[in-house]
Amino acid sequence: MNTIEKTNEQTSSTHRCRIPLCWAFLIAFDVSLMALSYAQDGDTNPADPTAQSVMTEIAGPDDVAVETSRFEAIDVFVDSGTRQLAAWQLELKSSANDVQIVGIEGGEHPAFAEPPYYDARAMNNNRVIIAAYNTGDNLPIGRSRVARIHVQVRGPGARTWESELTTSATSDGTKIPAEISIAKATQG
Amino acid sequence: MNILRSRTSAVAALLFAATACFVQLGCGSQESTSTAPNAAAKQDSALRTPMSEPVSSSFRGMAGSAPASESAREEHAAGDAPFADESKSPIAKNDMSIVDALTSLESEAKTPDGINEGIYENDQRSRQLSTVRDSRATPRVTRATFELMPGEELWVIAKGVDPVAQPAAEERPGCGALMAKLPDVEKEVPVPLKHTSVVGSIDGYIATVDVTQQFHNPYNSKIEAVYVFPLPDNAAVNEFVMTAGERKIRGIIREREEAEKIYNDARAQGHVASLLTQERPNIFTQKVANIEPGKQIDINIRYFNTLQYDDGAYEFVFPMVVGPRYNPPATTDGIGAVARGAVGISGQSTEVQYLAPNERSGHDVSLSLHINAGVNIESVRSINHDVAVKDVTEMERNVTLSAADSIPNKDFVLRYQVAGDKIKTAMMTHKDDHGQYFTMMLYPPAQLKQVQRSPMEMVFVLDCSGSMSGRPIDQARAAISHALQSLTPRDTFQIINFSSAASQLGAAPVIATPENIQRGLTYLNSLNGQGGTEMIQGLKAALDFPHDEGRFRLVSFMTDGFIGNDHDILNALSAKLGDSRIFSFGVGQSTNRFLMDRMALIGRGAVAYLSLNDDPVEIMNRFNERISHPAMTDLSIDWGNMNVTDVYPQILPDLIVGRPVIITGKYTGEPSLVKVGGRQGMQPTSFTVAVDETNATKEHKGIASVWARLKIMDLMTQFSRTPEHGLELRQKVTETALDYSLLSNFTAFVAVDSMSKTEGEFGTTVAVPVLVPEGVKYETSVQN
Repeated sequence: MNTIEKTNEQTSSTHRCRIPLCWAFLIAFDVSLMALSYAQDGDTNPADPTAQSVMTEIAGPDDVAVETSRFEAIDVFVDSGTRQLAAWQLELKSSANDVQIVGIEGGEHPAFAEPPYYDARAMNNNRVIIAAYNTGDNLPIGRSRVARIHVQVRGPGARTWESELTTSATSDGTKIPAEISIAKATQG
Repeated sequence: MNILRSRTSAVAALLFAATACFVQLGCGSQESTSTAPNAAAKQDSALRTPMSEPVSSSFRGMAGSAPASESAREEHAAGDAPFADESKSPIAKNDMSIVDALTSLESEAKTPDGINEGIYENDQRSRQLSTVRDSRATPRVTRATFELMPGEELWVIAKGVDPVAQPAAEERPGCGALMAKLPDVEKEVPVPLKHTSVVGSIDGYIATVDVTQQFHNPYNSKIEAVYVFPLPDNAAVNEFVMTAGERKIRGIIREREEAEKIYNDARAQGHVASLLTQERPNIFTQKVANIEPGKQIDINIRYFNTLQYDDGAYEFVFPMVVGPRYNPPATTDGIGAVARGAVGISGQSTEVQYLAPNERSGHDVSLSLHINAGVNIESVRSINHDVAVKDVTEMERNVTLSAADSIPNKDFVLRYQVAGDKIKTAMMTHKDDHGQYFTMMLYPPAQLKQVQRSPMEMVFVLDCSGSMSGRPIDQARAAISHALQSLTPRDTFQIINFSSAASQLGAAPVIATPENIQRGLTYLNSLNGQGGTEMIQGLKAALDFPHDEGRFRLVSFMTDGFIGNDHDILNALSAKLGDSRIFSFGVGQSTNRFLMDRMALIGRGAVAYLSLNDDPVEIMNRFNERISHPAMTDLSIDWGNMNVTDVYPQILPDLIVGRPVIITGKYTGEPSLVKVGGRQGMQPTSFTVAVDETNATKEHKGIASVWARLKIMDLMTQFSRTPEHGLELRQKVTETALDYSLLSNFTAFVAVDSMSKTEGEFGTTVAVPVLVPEGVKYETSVQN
């Protein structure tokens, strides 16, 4: 099973709390019950097996004026390991308010070359939920760029992006574990 | 086996959770005194990604952009463009240098305060720099000569004109044009729009249409292309994709000002970018920035719309050109109609440039359509174009526009007759995250035909403006003549004409005696098209005189609707309507259908279109049939088991013989029986239709978009009528458009290719000039 990589500030700031030992047992018992229920149910929550949130910093120039803007692209990769990836959904957002999403491009594999659709209601300046599926036979295996997000960034410095893969599945609908990662797009 | 494995997993998870809890507690107590490890862990996590490539977590922003853009240019030059190899390109064969071309383009810039700071470098050979001024701007020709020595460089700082479309005078960008020699034309004009492809699919009465505009750069320097074009006024545009070579970038819907700012920033920085805005419900502007010489950028637009049904036939319309609009004095937010290159002379916020009668561009259009009517199709007829029709099944046809009829100067209008006895009120539904939607075509009951009409006060209003001159006014006169002769002595009539002012047959309507009808015909034949289109004058003349209580007033507007102040007209109509009914007739090959449709909707009448290829007698016979029976008025609907909200149109129109009403809304519950009540004459009447599983199960994903578009149109009507609520209504329009990813007055699509950066800041803006619609006289409708 995939490890869940949670690296935001909230996660790291919750380590100080002290919990009485009896509460700890109670929480552990509850969690166990939930796990048992989950296993007996057999119907998995689609997002759970694969959901992962990754924080990535995309560097930017420090020596530019605050009012200047630049356009850059962020490549989004999904690594489905040894399984064929037929469907995916992910969320990409920035904690910064001075970034705007200005275009969505498809991926490198022919199965996901068409620009993915985005959820209009979820679309914000700095947040997008995109998804794509392909019912064909020629599907990517391993790590593949599934989308490229074009953004406008105002002002100097790096911006941190949070990416989360909420769905990844094979062509028969089976949810599969996969990892998401992003990187600044480069030519070539 | 699976269950066993699952249970094992559960036990493992239990142990893991319990252990994790203990570990967590322990760590918490230890770390509470120190934040440094946390910060380090956070930093490490923030920079760590699962990727293996070296650029995964940290990048140099601007430092890396220069080589990146360089390689983008190489990539572009290598493969994307049809003339990637310049040695094979017609551009390369042309002797004119880039400096010459740029200078020539620069000479077109007439807006004094527009500045294009693009810097261009020559190739260090000796060159002659020529500056040719547009003869309309100044009659002088200024020519300056520079001789460059080896090693010297010549830098030209080109003045451009910022957001306004720039003309392409024949003297200049044509130098590098990729134009084929066209027969039978006197002058070929290079334009940055090469081709428009239209691929439509009709399912029931909902059309899904994909429009691809192929922009290219036929000049020697990079350009920004601006194209003002029409779409159906009920088109719900919800997809926008920009294609450069193999790469496709989906555009994002944004608030209009925001989208314009993004586009302007991208344009200024040299990125290929595109912007789609709405000027009127049926007029749009497409801008594409930084198209390099020889390169092509495609823009794909998708929309949904509902078709009209009229006397047994559905009508699919794809408008191909914006007709030349007249804007009353003091108007500044209208749609200007100017000659090619005469930028800015109309004083309007949006301008369409028109080719002179002896000019042709290479822009052509292709169109293919798949029809699945759901019932047997009896006949298919294209009104203005040559088409090939292929039978697929009894209910399906494939229609293709003839390649010999691909000049975009008239609306494509396709009418297909369906089996009349099979037509019945039907509902289509759709369910998504937003809720459940329906659209219903409500057909008039057969009993409407059993009652004859009461005496009428018939008012014919004829547009005699310059754009109607020639064939359009001939067609309109023929139609009115036929309608006049169909009146009986129980009726009265009046003929009003308007252009720059309004005049009429007599002081008051006259009885439709044979003598008066003859008088009317003589008056009609004396009318010709010239002057402006002061439609409000015509409206006032038609609606302001006292109403004859004994007769039913019916006003027929015969016009091409080529005015730029649509909302002023509609507001005036709404204010003056009273008990009158409006029947609007769109005359010509490229009518302003938004105006015509809305006039009929507000006027609780019906709309009809009278193409130059239509038989006016046939059209007016249909009109006579409609008005020969009283409509079912004051409609109300009991939706039965459905809980219906947000119905559009919010004021239900009258049900008229031969004209069903399309109603769209949101609902919960199950469709079953729908009871429609109303009045016929003074008598209450009702009928029931079944919209159960037999005819309410048809699913169409476009219904939500169609509904949202109708909602926006309704809000925009309120917006123009109640400016005091403008802010609130604007907010509602924007929210709806953003939620449903729809183009509107206040939202726009923008797409930026951040990976390709062209040299210089931005190129010269070149508008796409278009032909005046077929039948319209350039001389009487376009400003020079």
